[in-house]
Amino acid sequence: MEAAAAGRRLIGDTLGFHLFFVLFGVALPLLICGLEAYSIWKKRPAARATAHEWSKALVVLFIAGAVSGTIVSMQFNLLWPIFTSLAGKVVGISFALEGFAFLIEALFLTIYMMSWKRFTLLQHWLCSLPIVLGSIGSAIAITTVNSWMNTPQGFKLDGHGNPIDINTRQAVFNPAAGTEVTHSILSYLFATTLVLLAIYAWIAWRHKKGRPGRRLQKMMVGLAALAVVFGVLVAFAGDQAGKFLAKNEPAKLAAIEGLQQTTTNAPLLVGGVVSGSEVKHAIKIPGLLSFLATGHFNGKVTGLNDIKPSDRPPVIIHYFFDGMVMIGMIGILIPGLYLIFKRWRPKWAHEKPMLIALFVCGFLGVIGAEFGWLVTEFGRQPYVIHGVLRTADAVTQNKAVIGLGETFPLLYIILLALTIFGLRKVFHPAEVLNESR
Amino acid sequence: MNLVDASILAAAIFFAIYGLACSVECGIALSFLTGQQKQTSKYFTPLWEVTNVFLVFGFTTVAMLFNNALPALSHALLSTLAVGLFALLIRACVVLVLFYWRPDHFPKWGAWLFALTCFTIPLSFTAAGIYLITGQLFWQTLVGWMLMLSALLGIVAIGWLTINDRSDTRKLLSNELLFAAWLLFLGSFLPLSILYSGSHLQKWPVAAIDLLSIFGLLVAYLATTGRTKFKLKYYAGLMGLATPLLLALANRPYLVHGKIKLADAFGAASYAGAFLLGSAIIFPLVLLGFWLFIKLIKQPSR
Repeated sequence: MEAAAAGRRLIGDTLGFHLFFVLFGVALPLLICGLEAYSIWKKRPAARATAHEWSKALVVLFIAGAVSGTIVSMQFNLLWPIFTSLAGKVVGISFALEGFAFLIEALFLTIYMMSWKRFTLLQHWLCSLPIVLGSIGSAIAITTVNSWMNTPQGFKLDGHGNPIDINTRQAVFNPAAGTEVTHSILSYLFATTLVLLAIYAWIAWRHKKGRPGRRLQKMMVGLAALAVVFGVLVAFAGDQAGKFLAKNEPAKLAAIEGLQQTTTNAPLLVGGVVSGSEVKHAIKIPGLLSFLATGHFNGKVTGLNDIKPSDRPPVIIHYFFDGMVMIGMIGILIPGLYLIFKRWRPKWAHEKPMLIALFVCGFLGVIGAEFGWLVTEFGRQPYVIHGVLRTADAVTQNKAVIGLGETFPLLYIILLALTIFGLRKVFHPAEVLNESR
Repeated sequence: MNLVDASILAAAIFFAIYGLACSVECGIALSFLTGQQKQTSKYFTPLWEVTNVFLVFGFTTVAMLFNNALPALSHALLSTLAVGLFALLIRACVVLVLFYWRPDHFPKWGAWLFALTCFTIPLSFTAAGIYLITGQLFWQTLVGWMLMLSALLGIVAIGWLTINDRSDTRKLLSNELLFAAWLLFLGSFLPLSILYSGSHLQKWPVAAIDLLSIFGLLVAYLATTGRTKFKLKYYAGLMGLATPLLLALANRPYLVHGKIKLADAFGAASYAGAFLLGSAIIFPLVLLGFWLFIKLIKQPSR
């Protein structure tokens, strides 16, 4: 394997691994903060106990996330020096802001965890606000870097490929920033809510005596409602992102749909098999792609024929995109169905098939978020900074990376296994529900 | 001082703080090896991993502000820093096992692995720092070896002093003796090797390290003879913070000694001021947080 290929694989593995923790690192603080606020407002100690339990899980996930985040940061600099050198000059402030936000999050998380029994209720809740600010702030900062990679602006290149006339504000507030930040953060909230719902569905499933307790049911209803709300918001943000792609990143959209020719009334392809640069045997819904991309069934959508062959992304992202959308729909449908059953057919709501479906949704939520990032990253290929820097030119040629590419993933798997082991040791949501009955 | 010097000092401060945090962790690891975990178990928490944020910050500062040097640095330091990254991952695994498996009883292999990784991480980053100061990998020069040994002694001294508040002369190695050995090394062998090697490091920061070391020896002597109640760990911490800063100053005007100048490497004129201002604002907050953290550890829960 070449050094460049090894470098690409390694950063892909690292980011895929890190994203698992990012999901929870961004969403859990907000959910915990909300639950604790609710417990203070409504004077519900049980809700506070649950928030405490969730925060224990957050710590275990944060530890692994802090380590993988450190590795991501250093690998970017070591394996992608050309990219980081260029990006550092233009959007380095976003990297720095992410660092500031992470610092605040880490610091206050430590204080927050140590002060559950040491501060007053209000003091303790106030400590959660900087954690929320830090986690969401760091996600916003780093996602603006990614959006800048998709729609780079705020600089020009001189004859040697060095950026000049740098306008940091323009670079940070690039066209893709709004849609990408909104879509990604909402999807983290959606996926995390689905995972929490899956955990409580698992508890209900394991419940041996008849219907689950009132508090467990209440928790499941609350999380299912949240999942539906976040899911709808993700879908809305995704629709905006699709329209944005059609206008600003047509190559990515054409690859997602395997659209060969620029056309009006373009069909949306569902399923199918990717063969070369085409999608075969897919279900075609006439005009829907045009409608989703432009708002009109006769809208014109750019096809791969209008993209230089050397600039075309791999059509394999069609799978990731379909997977993401499918999971998003299932993630809204199943919790929605649970809520409907709970209201009109309460017996069905806690039957085994429903609980299994909710449990599976938890896994799907995480996979969906991973698919979303795969669409973004593969869809920008062969560029690392769209139209500016090709991936092959940005990665290190240092052969030492070949060995690293083999060993790091093994350690990631071990760390993930130990994180799950740690979670099993400290995270006991069922006990909290039983205690507070 | 201009923006470029301020930037390299900011990076040195973040690395120095990370070095201190690592040293304390090494102290905890040493306590496990010497069977003193009962004294230090309250300090052993996976939350230590959050101190990695200083490493990220230090590294981000160098990579973002001195971005012109990044391709050269990446090529020279990939293997050196990869060792630290491996150790970082392994330590996280070991911490999770030790903390959640049987927190009351550490298996010997776990304690050894924890200690090994705890030492490897700061030493790997020290090796990278040595490359910046000497322009060569640490094993290639005498100054490199001296700096590495001095870092090792410093980590042991700071870690040991932090976990052993009071001196015990019955021990094989008393706190004062360990501290004095580090300072002797830092104050005599290191400057001598710098002089001997004909290095072009600036002289006054090296002289300042000398002076601080002599003063530290005096403090250690006073502490040994019981004439002062001043805790050596604070002085050791101060030395741990000051030494990387002074070495960064001594290395001016170079980022990589004799190879890349700071001014040539600096490529963030458009936002370096905002970055440094942000760091200056956030720094007191970080100190406040750590103060609160220590207070909370000591305070009993309600």
